[in-house]
Amino acid sequence: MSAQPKRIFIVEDQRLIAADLENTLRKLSYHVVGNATTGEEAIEKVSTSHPDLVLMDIRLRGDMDGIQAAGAIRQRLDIPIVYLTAYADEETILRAKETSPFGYVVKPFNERELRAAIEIAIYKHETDRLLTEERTRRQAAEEFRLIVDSVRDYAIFRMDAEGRITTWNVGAEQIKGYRSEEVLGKHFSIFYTPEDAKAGKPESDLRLAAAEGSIEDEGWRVRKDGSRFWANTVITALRDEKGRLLGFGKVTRDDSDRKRREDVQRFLDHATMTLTSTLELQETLDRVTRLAVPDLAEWCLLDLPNETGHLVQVATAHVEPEKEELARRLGRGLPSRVDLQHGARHVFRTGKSEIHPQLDDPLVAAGMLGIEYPELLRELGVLSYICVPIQFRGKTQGVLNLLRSASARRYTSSDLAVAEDLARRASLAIDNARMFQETQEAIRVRDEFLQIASHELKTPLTPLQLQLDTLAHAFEKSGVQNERLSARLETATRQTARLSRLVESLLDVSRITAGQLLLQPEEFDFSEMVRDVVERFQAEARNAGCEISVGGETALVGRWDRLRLEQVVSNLLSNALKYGARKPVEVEARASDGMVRLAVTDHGIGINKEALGRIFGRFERAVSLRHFGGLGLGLFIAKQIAEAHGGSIVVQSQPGHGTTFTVVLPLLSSVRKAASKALDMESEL
Amino acid sequence: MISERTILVVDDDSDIRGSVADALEEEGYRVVCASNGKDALHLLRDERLRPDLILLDMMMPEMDGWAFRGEQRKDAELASIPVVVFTAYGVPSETANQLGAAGFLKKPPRLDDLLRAVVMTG
Repeated sequence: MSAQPKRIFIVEDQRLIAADLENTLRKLSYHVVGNATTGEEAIEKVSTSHPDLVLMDIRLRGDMDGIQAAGAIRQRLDIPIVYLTAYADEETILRAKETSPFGYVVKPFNERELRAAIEIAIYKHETDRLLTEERTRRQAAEEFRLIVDSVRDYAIFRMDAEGRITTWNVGAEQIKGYRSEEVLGKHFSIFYTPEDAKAGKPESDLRLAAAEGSIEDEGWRVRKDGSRFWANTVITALRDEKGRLLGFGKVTRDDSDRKRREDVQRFLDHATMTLTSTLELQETLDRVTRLAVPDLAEWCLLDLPNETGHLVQVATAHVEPEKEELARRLGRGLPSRVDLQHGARHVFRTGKSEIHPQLDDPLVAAGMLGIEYPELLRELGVLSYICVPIQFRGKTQGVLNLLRSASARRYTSSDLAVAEDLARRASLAIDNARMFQETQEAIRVRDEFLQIASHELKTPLTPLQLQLDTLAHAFEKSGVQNERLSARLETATRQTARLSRLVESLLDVSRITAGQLLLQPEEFDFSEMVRDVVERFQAEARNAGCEISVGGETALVGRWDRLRLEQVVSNLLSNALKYGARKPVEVEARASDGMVRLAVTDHGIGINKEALGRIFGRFERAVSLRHFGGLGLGLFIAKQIAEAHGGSIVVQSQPGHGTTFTVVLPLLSSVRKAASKALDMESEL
Repeated sequence: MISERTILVVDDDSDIRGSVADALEEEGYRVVCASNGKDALHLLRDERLRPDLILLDMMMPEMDGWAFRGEQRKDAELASIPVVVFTAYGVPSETANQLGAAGFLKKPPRLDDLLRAVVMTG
């Protein structure tokens, strides 16, 4: 008997008997927690006092007798009940049995009988309870085992506290390759890679699981056949109700497919990033081979055709740097074996990928790769080979050779899919780099031509312009009055000056694109410069039928490139005269907020909205070429010059009413070099 | 004009030489011409010509403007003669800077530009 006295509840309608009973129980060291005289009272009080046992008189006053009350209590609570009875007829005993009583005490009772009945009832009740619990637990365990056994996608097994395997399910067999009888009793470290096992990971995993209750992990594990798989594992410490460690449960999922998909995607994303971040051709080629190593190949060769159409190895990579040089100097006589039905040349010819998982004979491999000295291959190592075409613009433009030398990593069809994907990305990058190189070359040739052309055009212009100027000068000095002659001389001079400007513009474009628009700042009066330029345009203005008026402030002194700003004013003026419809042109220069603003306004044909956005572009014009000639460079150059000074140029126009161009320049010009700006433009070509 | 100023025009194009000479002579200058750097050096060294200014083309056969300027700067007697770079090649202002020239004149120049360059740097 435990130290705690058992708690008894008494249901007895005869007070004398109840008091006697209570006395006796106390004497026997029981604790009477309460009593009741009717069935209803008993049900209510027992529900709140939760005694260890109820002593129940069968015959009670009222509507409910003891058997009914006991039935109601047993329905709600698992408390043993012992009946008290003075006599027992058959019918009463039968009724009492239905309530599964734990004993009877017949009145009048003696102490011994009472005590025996109580102790037996309590013991029986406890035993019944334990039996039921155990039955339930066994049933649950059996059901759980059936579930666990049938799970195929998860390895679920138990280990003892030391990590020896004690149970094994179908999923475990499926994933790890061991049958139950081979693995039971073995230590679970056999599932770890040799590196992890050596590092003590199995033991530390168990320690951690024991400490934390449960740990989750992801990593490589090993199957019975030595192959590796990417596992997601959960180890749970199993403890009894006292907290003693019984062992561990382990659930392992084979996540190799997901891992592989993620790895491939990451690899290809990285490839795209790497390949798109350069436009230099050789760098692109080198990056293609370097990308393949080591994830996709131990070594990799990229072949592109040369000018005569023969495949040439253009980029090389090897996991071992010292072997890379060897791979670079393989001496591949690719053109020699035309008849071969496999290998690099064949892929180049057919445009179809090839996979040779088992390529153990160096002689065969040498043939496929077009290598004249097979002994070199032994050093580099070849066991498995993939060759994929590089294709763009609907044509096979080269091949990518991927080689593996480690036996555990022979190529599979999924490697081929990745190789093809890499080759597609490489193709795109190579095509881009090639196009960029060709474009760069074309621009270089164009600029060189413009330089030469401009120089050659300026040479004859030099004596022509000087002679005309000298002639006009001499004519003026001579005092001879000849209107027609002087008008013709003026026309010739004007047209020559115009030709000079056009030639200069041509060269400016190539200078701007080559980043050579360098400014030579000097201090001068902006308004005076404007007047000078306007003065030079008087002849042209007369010819265009436009009168130019100059307004605004004077003495706007600052630091700029004078010749360049003269060019801006000239370009704006010549536009205003060209499109000015024989109406006046106004030029106005003002300073405010540390800026100089030059406005050139005409009242001519104007510019429609659609054209406003593009008139500052190279070779752009707002009007049809048939009606108005010109190179379409004036505004482009003006904008570049304004921006090189840290300024800007804007346009306002109303079709049919005229146009105002406003140049804004900082007075204290922080002149920056136009080089970087010009390079930006290059990429927009 | 108190003392006649002498300008040495170095250019391989005879029409250019002629036009420049015409224009400058009209203004009272004395003009001597050379068709390349080598001829110019010959005039300076052997003929002991000492012009007030050299108008120097850059692209010329036999000895170009860069080579001439190099020789001239090495020669203590000639180094101080101011040079105006007179070219259609590249960026004349930059060439002038690189060669330590006194000025530059872009081809084709207006008559005013030519006279200004000669007056300001002579």
